[in-house]
Amino acid sequence: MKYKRILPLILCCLFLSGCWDKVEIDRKIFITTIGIDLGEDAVNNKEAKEIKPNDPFQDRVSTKKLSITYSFPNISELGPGNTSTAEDKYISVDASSLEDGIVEATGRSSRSIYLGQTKLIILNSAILEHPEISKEILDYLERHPHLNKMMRIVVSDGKAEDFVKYQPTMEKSIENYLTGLMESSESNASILPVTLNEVIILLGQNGNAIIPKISMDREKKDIVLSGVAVIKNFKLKGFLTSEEVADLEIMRGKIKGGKRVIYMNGHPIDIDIEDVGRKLKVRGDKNKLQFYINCRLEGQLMEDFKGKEVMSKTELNSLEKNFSESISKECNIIAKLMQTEFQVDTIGLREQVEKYKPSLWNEIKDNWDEVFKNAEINVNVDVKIRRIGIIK
Amino acid sequence: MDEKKFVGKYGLFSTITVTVIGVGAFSYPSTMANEVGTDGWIVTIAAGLICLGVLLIIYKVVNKNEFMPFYDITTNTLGKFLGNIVILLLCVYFIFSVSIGMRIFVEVIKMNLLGKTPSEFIILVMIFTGLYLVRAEISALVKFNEISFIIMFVPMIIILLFSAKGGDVSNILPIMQHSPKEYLNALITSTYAFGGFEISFLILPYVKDRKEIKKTLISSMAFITIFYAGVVILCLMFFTKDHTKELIWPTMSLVRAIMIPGTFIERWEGVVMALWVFYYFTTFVNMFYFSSELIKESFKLDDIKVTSLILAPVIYLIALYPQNITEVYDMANRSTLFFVSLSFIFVPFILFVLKGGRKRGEKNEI
Repeated sequence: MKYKRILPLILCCLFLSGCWDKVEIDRKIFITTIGIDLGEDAVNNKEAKEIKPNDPFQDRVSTKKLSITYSFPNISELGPGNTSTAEDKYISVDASSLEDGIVEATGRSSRSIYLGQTKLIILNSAILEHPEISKEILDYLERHPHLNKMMRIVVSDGKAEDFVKYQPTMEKSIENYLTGLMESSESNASILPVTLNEVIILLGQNGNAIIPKISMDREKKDIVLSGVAVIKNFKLKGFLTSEEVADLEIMRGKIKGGKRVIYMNGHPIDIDIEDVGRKLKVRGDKNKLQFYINCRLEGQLMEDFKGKEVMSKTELNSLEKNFSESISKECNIIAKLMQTEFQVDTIGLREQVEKYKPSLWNEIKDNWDEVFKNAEINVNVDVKIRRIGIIK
Repeated sequence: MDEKKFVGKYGLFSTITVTVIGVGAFSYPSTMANEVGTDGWIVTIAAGLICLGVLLIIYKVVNKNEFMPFYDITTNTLGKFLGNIVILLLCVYFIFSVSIGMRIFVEVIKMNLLGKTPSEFIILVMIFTGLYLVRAEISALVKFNEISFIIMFVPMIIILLFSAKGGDVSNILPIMQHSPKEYLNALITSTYAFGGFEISFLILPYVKDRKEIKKTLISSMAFITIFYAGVVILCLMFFTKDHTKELIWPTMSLVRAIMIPGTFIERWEGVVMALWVFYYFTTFVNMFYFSSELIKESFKLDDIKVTSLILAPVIYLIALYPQNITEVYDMANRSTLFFVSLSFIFVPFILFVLKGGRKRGEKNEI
């Protein structure tokens, strides 16, 4: 019976000698930000179109289609006694696709690359000019099992590499800075936080989406997150400014905070928006649709002019009326802009029809673009000032 | 027989639920979204009701036959020869479905966690662990199910509740916008997801309190239906029907996408993969036991330890047979209709109509 004692030892040697997937944590690179730019031969892809799918050496075609920058914290800096955040490091590569980028980057680093911790993707707006390339990128982001679908995605006005390598004053890396900015969207209505998941869903439905835009303030050397890029059929259609985004957010019923201002006798009067309720009604038939968007904004008066007493019914009513009319007009203009110039439904009208009027949707879904263009959108905003602060 | 009665109410409940809810729960919302878009949860509830009906018929059959083991019921009713054929066909179905499930399980593990570990090794480890449990006889199996139930569903339900926050309820609209034919097709596919409750044939004879059986069966089926419907609704809320269609394992993507702001755990990979192992393993081991038991009886072998050893390589081979994940699902889909009709409709109904051995030889009236 001696073999019974030896057998476990043999099994131990066989099974405990290490597994196939073992990687020590300090041998890994945890990518936090990916910046994607167009490479040199992105536009000139004739070669790629001519090649047949079964030709040899296809790796050699358009190797510089994308230029990708990865940023990752140098975790070997971390440890007991050190500061909490590690310095960021970068790898920039030219690649034909995102997967090729990983391979290239692996070839240039001594560690294995892990994408599961990626928190931010910066897309150069130039990429969105080429719907074919943006479709390739989107498919990769969707298909990858490790990528976190809740990461933020932004479009950069200018080279994404510069943004990835930018050193903000407040945080150690841009990824912390931008995600922090987006999370504080409660106090700034012009910031529209968007996750990869939302973009995938929106683009998957009909190729339209809105993605926040970042741009570089050259003089102050500062990054500004403002406005959104409007995408139609995977192609960049244009940008909305931050004021327009705020109105759009009101119409979408998604605004979380922010301030509005009207001028009275040359003095600004500010209110702080706390909540929004949106009711959307659809009327009409397949030839002419009418949308009625009723929004109710609730807010608090923040600033008026010294010497005027606000605490009277008439005064407050007139303030509310002025605010309501001003914002209603703005929203109507933005809605019209969406219909005519962008021809993209970012308000959520399509979803509304599809969800609540399914039979009508079946009639119009084939030429929704046309129907949307000709539809009549009426926005009515009702501002309620609930509180006025602690003086009369 | 009395000394063999050791399964309590909870044992029965947990055995049925953990056997039915397997790897299918992770791909189920996608299948439903492809068939009927946003109506998946309605179809699920309908399928749940149908399966409850079948389950109650199984109970009636077992009850009429004085809680004999399944093998005896079948051979008494259908005769030795026909009974053996039916039992062998059922075994083929069980083995086939656990093997396909095994392959899906391995593919997901390989993609998400162990990229470089060979599939063969993962399958071997699973089969050996399963063998170990099967050889420990049925009392150990039921105890294992009782423990697994808590491990599987308490974390899963907590995680799913968190995910409800990120979704938009209006995404489950519109409802009832499909043709009756589409609903019928979806219903058939959906019932397949409930496969596995035949395990009650195995477990019912061992139940202690026979008066409570009916209630327990209803509650276990209700639990399964609510769980499935809930998962479908959550996936639709979170991903909308268009994206749910694209995903292969929406439930897994859903759990992975959860971010609870300000918490200490950001990524749930480890938790999810641990759960994934449990979801598959319980289905596997129960079905494995059931088919080993049937084969043992059918070939008059002495011990389940022998038959389980014979079946293990079969599972290994079938699991490794498909070339890729597309082929796996293709194989599963092609066999669905045959096996569903065999195990859900044919067996229970025939046994129900031809109750008892005395009526042997009567014509099948269905």
